[in-house]
Amino acid sequence: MSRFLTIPEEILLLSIDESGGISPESKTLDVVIASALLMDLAIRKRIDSDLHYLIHVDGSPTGDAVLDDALTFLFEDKTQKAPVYWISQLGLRADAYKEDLLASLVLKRVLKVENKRILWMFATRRYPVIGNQELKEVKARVRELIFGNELPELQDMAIISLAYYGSLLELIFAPEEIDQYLPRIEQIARMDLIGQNIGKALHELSLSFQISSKAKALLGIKTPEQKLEELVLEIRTKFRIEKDEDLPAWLRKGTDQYRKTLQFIDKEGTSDVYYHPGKQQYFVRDYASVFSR
Amino acid sequence: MELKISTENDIRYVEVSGRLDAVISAGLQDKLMDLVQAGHKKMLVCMDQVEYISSSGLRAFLAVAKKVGHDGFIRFCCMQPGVKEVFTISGFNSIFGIYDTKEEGLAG
Repeated sequence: MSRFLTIPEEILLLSIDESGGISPESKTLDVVIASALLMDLAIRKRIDSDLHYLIHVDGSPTGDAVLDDALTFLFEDKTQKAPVYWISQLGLRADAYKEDLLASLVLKRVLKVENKRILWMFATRRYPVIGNQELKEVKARVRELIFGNELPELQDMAIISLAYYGSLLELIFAPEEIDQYLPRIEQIARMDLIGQNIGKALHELSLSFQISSKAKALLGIKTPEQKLEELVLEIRTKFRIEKDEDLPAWLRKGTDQYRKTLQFIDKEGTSDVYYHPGKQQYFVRDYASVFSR
Repeated sequence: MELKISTENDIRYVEVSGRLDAVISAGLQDKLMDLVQAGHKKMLVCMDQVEYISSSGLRAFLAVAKKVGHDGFIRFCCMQPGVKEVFTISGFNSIFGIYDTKEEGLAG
């Protein structure tokens, strides 16, 4: 399969607004990205799924750095688990994946990097789309599929599924188009079993996340320890992680990595941080650090 | 995977057996594509001996159906309940003709 953009790249591209920021602010985007990785790997015949499990098929590299990182991670544990488990696990790394996908889109000359200053003080980084060609192409392809009656290509089926279950349809269609074509959108969205599992997960995870976000706002937490506990609680709830051992080391109490996380939160003054396993570095969530560090 | 192909009323009757997982589905897709390439665009796939189908199996049938296009059809008959459930949950039953018996499938 030779495509210019991968499914995660296409869905991230769709999520970039006119000013070059990632839109929507929706916290479900990391779940969507995790799901997109699984869908792309399934189309490339590296994994499979049925009504219950995700199945490991072929661990050979795809040639795409982000997909291969996810593939290596998936093949570290070949026991049969539900797709939602892997969505959670990849979702935990989604901030790193988003950065790497943005970097890949810049390298492919689909996006450019633009540094701006607000009030001459705060630096901000945007990723405007160059020429709009790829974005228009993705939208046109998907719209043509929905407005017509042809059977879908696998990549388009995945994009529709992600957009439908991830509540991103408005990035592709006008509200009245969604109303008019919803039965066709739903029909295509549910055609892939991974997509369907993802759909359920997105729904459940986003509901859980909304609840945890409200709890976070009520708690008014201050100390670094409490901030980190808050982050762990948020991630546990968001990705439905019950066992400590399913948490990555940087969020697992008692590990050296956890202590380093605590130090980073203390230094930065925010718990809105993540650890990039490939770079072995911590970052504050701004999707920009890949270019600046 | 075993595949028996016969012709009835100008329709290729394809009897599939085994588990349609990622590996088997790839082989099945190749063989069905060969039929389409050879101009046989009307197919009835008997699923009586298929006990399992994964996403890969569904994708294989979708790819073949796309290749068939509007010039022909791919129908299914004699599905086991577990396989039929997968077709129903994924909505493939609204795309493909699914029939209880071979006779119904041939008649369409």
